[in-house]
Amino acid sequence: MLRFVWTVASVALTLLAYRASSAVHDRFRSPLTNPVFLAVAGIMIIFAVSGLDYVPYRRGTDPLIALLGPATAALAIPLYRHREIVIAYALPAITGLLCGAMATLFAAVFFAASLGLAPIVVQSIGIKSVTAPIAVELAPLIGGDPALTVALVVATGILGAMLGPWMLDRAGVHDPVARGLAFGTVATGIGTAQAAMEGEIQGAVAGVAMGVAAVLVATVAPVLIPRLLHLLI
Amino acid sequence: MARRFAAIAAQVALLWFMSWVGHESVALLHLPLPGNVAGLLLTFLALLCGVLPVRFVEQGAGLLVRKLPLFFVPLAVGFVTQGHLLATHGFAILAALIGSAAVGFAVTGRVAQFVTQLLRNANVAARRPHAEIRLDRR
Repeated sequence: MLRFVWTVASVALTLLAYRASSAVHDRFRSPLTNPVFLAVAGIMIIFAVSGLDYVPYRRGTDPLIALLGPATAALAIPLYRHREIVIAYALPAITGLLCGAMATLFAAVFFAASLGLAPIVVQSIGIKSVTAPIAVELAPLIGGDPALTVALVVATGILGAMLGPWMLDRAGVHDPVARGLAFGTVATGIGTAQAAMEGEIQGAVAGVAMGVAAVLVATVAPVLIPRLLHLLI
Repeated sequence: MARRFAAIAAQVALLWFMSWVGHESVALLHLPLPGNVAGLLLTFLALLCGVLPVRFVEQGAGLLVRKLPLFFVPLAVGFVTQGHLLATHGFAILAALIGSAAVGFAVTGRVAQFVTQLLRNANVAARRPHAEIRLDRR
C-alpha cells in the first residue's frame, strides 16, 4: 500500500515538474530552459530542501523507467522514415559519425583522466555522448554509474545545444547534413532538438545520427573503455 | 478518444514486446550490447523486411519519441546522490565535457563535410568526359 502511494506520488511529481518545465521552455525558448534540465533541477531542489530520501522516489518512478525500453525501440521509426536520406548520405555520414563519436569518446576519457577524476567518473564520461536510455544500460557494462552517466548525458546535451552552433561555426562546418550529424553524434536528444531548430535536414540527420552513434559506441565501449582506462590511470 | 487511447496503448505494448525480445536475445547470446539497442535494431529490421508495418507502431512510437526526455528525468535526479562529487569536482567535469564536445563537433562536422566534398568532386570528374562526348557530337 505504502509502495503504491510512493509510486503515484513519484510519478505525479515527475510529470508535474516536466509539465511545468515544458511550459517555461515554451515561453522562454533557450537551451538554458531545457525541460529536462529544469525538471531535474526542480526535483533535486525539493529533495535537498525537504531532506527526503531519494531511494523511494527512484523506486516509485519504475513505471516511467520501464518505458525507456519501448521508447528506444520507437527510435527505429524515424530511422526507417528517413532511410532515403541515410542511404543518400551514407558514406560521408558514416565516416563523420565514426570519427566524431570516437574522437569525443577519447577526448572525454583523456581530459577526465588528466584532470584526476575518479575511475567511475572517467568510465561514465566516456559514454556521455550516448543517448540516455542506451547509456543507462551501457554504464554497468563498462563499470560506470547509471545515475551519474544520465546526468553527464543531459549536461552534454545542454552544453552541446548552447555551444554547438558556435563550435561548428568556428570549425567552418556549414553543410546542413554535417551540422545535423554533429549535433546528433555529440549532443544526443537535446542536441537533436537544437539541430531541428536550425532546419529540417539538420533535425532528421541528427535524430538518425544519435541512434547510429549510440549503437556504434554501445558495441565498442564495453571492450574499449576498460582498456583505455588501464592505459591512462 | 477511447479508441485512440487503446490504439496507442496497444502500439506501446508492441514496442515493449520488441524491446523485451531484444533484451532476451542479448542475454541468451551473451552479446556485449545493451538490450534496448538490440530492440531498436530488431524493430528497424522488422520494418525494413515488412514484417512489421509502420502503421502498427507509428502512433505509439510518435508519443514515446516526443516524451523521451521525460523518461530519464528520474534517473538524472539520481545525481542528487552524487552531490559531493559535483561540489568537489564540478569544474573538472565541466571542463572535460566542454573540451570533448568541442573535439566531437569539429571532427564529426569537418570529416562529414570533407567526404561530401570529395564525393562531389569525384562525381563532377566522372561526368566531365560524358559532357565532352556530347559536345563533340554537336
